[in-house]
Amino acid sequence: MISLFRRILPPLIGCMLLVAPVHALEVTLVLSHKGGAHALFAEALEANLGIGRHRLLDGGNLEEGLDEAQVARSALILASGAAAVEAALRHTDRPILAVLLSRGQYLGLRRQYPDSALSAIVLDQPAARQVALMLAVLPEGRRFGVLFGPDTTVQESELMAVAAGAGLELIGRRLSTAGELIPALDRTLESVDALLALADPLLSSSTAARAVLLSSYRYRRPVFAHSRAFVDAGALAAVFSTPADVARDVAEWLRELPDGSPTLPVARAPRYFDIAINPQVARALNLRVADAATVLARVRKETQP
Amino acid sequence: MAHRGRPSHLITEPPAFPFVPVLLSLAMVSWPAFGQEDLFFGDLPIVASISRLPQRISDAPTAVTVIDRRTIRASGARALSDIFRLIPGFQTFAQSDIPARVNYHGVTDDADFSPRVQVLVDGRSLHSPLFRNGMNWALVPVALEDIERIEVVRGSNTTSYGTNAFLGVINIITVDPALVAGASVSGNHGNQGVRDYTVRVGGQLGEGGNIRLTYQQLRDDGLDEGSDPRGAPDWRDRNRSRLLDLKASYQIGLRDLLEMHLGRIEGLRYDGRLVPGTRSPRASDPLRDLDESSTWLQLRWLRTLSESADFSVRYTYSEDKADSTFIHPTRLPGYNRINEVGDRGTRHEVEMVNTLLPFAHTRLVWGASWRVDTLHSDTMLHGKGKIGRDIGRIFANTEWKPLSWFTGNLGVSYEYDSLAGNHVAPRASASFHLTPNDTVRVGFSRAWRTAGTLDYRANQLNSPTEAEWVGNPDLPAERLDSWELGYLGDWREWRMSLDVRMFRERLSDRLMNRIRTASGMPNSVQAVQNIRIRGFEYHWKWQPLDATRIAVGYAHIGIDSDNTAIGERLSVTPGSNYRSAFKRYLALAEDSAPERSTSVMLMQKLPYGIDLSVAHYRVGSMKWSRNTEIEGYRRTDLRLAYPFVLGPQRGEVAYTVQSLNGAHSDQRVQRVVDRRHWVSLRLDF
Repeated sequence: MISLFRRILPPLIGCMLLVAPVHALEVTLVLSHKGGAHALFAEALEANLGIGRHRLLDGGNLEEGLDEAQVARSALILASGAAAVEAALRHTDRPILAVLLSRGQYLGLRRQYPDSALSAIVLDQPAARQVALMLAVLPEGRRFGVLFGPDTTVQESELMAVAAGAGLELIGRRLSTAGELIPALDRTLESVDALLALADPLLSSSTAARAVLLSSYRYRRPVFAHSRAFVDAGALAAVFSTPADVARDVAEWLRELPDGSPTLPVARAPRYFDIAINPQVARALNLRVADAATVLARVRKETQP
Repeated sequence: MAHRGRPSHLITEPPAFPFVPVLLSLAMVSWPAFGQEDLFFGDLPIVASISRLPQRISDAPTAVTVIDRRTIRASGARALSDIFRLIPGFQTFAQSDIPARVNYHGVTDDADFSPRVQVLVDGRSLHSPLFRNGMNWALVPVALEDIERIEVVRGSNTTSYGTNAFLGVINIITVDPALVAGASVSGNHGNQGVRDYTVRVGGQLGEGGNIRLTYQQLRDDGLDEGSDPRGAPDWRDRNRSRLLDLKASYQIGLRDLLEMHLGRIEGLRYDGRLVPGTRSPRASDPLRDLDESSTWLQLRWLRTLSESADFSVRYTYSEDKADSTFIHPTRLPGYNRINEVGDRGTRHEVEMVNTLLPFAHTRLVWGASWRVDTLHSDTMLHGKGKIGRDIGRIFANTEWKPLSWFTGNLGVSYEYDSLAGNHVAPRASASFHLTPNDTVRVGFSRAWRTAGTLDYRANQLNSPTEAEWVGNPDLPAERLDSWELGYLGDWREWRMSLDVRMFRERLSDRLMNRIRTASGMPNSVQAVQNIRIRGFEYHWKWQPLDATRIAVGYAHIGIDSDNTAIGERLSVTPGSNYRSAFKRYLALAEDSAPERSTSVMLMQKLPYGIDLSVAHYRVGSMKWSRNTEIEGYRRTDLRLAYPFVLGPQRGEVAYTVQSLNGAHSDQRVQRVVDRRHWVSLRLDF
């Protein structure tokens, strides 16, 4: 009798588990790196989800190795960072939601894997948010400069349209090599109230950021940027989404996600964002800038759907 | 700035941070780069450390005029000294056989090197023990093309810039190597022998490093001695210089910046005289070559401690040499080898500065420096070998901004000088921001100017028994007590600004060169006069249209003087030249600045990208030396520049004319400054 139980019970329990799952969906999280922004995202996501309907599983990271079997059998993959997205694309044809990557990276992967079920919450902020920040910080500004690199030219039309809608003149220049940066900065900064520095390898690498900021001081013009680090380095203000902001967004999406085959959202920017202002730079440039909380509230109000 | 918990060396470790070469190659194939999210979450080196951020002019303790690169180009200046014609209250003249000088509110003597205006390049003082603790404006160690901006402090600021930042300060900031990319070749070709060539290159130096290198040679034949109104000129002039200037910066991690600046300039001019109207050299002071050079090295480390504090250490070495040796025909061996301008001066300086915001509304800059000067001159320090001089300094300046309408500035410095004694210099000012656009400033400062090493220690002998010039070891330092009332209007909506300064400056113990204290006595420097300088000046700038900029500067300066106790005694001592030429010494003090001087500048962008700029100057009569004077003069300079793009080739062709309105004299009547014009071509690669 006991031996019968021993023979029957495990498969029975197995069947019970299969027919009455605790979680509706298995969601596997893969990270490009084990630390940094990706780890922060993972932590925040876990904290946000709590014990939800769907089950969040650790699919590993590219530094320590990916749990390929887990990735292959999971119903939905959350991939943090372009490298993780690419690895996931190679191992599964299940839906993948990419996070913590730039729009340029996402579009590149899209082109590379046109048939995959891939979408993203990209880090680039929507044009409306960037324009709202510039206006909230510099209400008297009318003419803004922006440089586009190979990865950011896709943002040009949207930025131009939003700026025009807000009554701003946006002077854009396209760059294709690093050598064009300094002359382009000189020509742009001469005639604008501020410069918008987009997240483009050509424009905001360590070396390029230095040239951008030094040029901006040369012309006594503020820089609007896309990361807290850029503001710490010397930009006047930035709007950006932190890993926690993205995690909150993803958690909310997951909670709303119905059981069964998951449907990916349309690729978009994170719903949540933060801003940073460098008061020393504002003071040095003789700008009277509202405090960060006021500016953030204003940007939120301006960009509410 | 919160430390984000990443070790700072991460920046040098690929692939933790993207670097341009890597990114460029990735960008070119438009491949999603790994680590590109670092654009959003990666750290960046701090560029806006507290001391590097520009300070608001309306918070400054003194009047400051900033000259940017555009204005330098538009001014049509070929020599740095010419730029200061634009700044109200400044005086200068065209270089001839007499090296140019740049003074603020006058006060000059026959052969000084503008010692009362401090000149700094990236923090390095250009004052030299060899040039009587002044600046040799014939040997400017920076190409105009390499100047980012010039901050001209109109008024004394000893507490910030050290003793000898006496009547004014010229603070030159050169272009950051990170902003020079590629190569540029340019040349000037014009009348009066103008032949200038410049090569500038810049680029990256590994990861985090940048370098720029400039070679420049300037050449002209000086002023035309044939136009000397006396008809029999006893002088000739020409100017040659070669400059090599290298500046490199290296960012280590996020918070440390290392800078190195080194270079050398060599100059060749004429010294001495001709027998008037002939080509024969005067035996006692023959026309001969004057070779000069200046070599320097500067290292600076800047550490950003936090978003509200940084710390820098600077070491500077400079060596100046000059040689115009000749053999005097009638003097005894041992006394007949004459090199009055020589031989060699050196300076070592170490300075540390800490800039911080200790409290919410307070900015504090404090620091200390130690300097060792040496001077060697066989002629002027006969038998004395090398004279050393140690100078230590501590200083603190605070800016306090407790209310939106008030900025207070307080500063003090203490200086120890092994030759000149100890001096304390305080400064205080209060700025009232009546509106965000209107500021009224009241300020007081006390400043000191210590004399040059020779003034204390000279021993110039004509023979074993006859001294030409001896040092005066008891020389007091010149003291300047100045009061000022300033107004600053910054009307951005009208694109207009106005800077007005009213001043009362009292200069005590003015030192005068080559005073004979009695019959048969050698020359020495003596504190003979007290000088009062009063007046006002303004600088008005307006950009009525996008393409049009106008700037007007005006200064009204009144100077009067009386004798110090020593001056009083010398003025009645028989045999003293201060007695025999008293009226001329008096005039030299009181006419050392024009009563009225005006500058007007127009910068206009024309169709096809052509830049037109016209500068017009009106300068009243004044004296630059005891025995000379000049009438008032007018001068107009014009520049037309056409920046072009020919396929991948960028460049600029320009035409510049100085003294468009023709001949005038601006230093003494014998030196006629006539129209000089040249064509420039610049190609950027």
